[in-house]
Amino acid sequence: MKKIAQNTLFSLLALSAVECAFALDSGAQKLTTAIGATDYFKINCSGDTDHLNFKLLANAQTQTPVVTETKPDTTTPTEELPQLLNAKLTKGKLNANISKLVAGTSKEMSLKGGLGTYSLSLDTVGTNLALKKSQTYTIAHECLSSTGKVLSKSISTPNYTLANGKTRTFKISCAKKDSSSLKVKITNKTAVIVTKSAAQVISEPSGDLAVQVIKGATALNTIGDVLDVKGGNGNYFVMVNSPINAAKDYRFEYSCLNASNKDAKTAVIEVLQDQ
Amino acid sequence: MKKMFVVSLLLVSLNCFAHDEPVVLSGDVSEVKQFVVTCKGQNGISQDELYVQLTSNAAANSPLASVQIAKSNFVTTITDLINSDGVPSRAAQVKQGEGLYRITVSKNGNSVEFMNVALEIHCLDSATNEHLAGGTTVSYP
Repeated sequence: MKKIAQNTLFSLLALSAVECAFALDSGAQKLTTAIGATDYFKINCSGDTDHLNFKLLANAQTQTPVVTETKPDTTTPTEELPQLLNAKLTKGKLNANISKLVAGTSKEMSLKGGLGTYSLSLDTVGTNLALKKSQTYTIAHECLSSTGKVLSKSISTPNYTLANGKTRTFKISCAKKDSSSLKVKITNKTAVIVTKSAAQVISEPSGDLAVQVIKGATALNTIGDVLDVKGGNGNYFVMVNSPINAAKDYRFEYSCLNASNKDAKTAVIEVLQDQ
Repeated sequence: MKKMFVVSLLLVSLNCFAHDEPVVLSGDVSEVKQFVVTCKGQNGISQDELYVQLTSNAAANSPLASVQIAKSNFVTTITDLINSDGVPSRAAQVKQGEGLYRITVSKNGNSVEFMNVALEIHCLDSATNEHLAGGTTVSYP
């Protein structure tokens, strides 16, 4: 009798475990430090699915945002204009431009001017004149053939500076006979200056992973809260990424639920990308 | 008159080279803005690569916004992070062929302030870096 009771208990436990697994699926993964690393999943929901319930479990201990400055919201925030550079590449009557290269960004331009010497000039038209500090930038270039083959290239220059209202011109030569175009990359390395207005709250990321769940036109983002993405049956896409390119282990739970929040049908998950 | 027409046409085609997409994220951290970019070549010039650059009003080293660029089974992320050497890693060139690229923009933290994010987008020929007028179109799902 005791053995029958024990067996029944085990059966009940086993059944309940199966039911839990059926209702709530989970996965574990590690995100690497590679720049731009993103894990990518596809979850297929069927049956009478109303929404996908998804929870990321890696960030449970760090939910509070880091706030470096908070002041009462009594004034209108003011917007700080950036420092910026403009660049113009010319050869004969041809030219290409980079405009409004703001501090902390880089841009490329290319010009199909063939063999010979190109002129590159930089100015600060449109920059925030209230910021007096000279801007710092670097230049790198490549001479390319008509098929895109790199014939010659320069490593990035040392830091150059340009004061407000000034212009500086460089000559760049593509001397190899198959030269078809010149590609120039300019990086504005000027430090980004952020002035905090009275009403502004500057937050910092906690280093947590972020997750986006997408179904058609519906998409939601989380760093740990449970998401309910209402999209019916079909494929839901899940992207997991780190804002600071940090390696991190994480787990997640998901379930396809109907309108009554009951399990609709076991979801099938597919790893599309593991980075 | 004819000259003005030609100049106008030229200006229109120059504007088509790169697409500037302003995005405002509200105080709701779960908000995701998404749109679709179509890269299409013409006249024998391919547009098989997508360039995306992110600029935001976040402070340096406070990567509060992130952008995912997805095509088929590939996805990568850019944020407004500035590396320790001062070089920004806010841009990506994704070479996944012509066709539809899905772009999503969202926040990384629980910050409640509005964020202004600007994206510069253009498709290009990966062999020559040439980007065509009309080679980049943006639509919203």
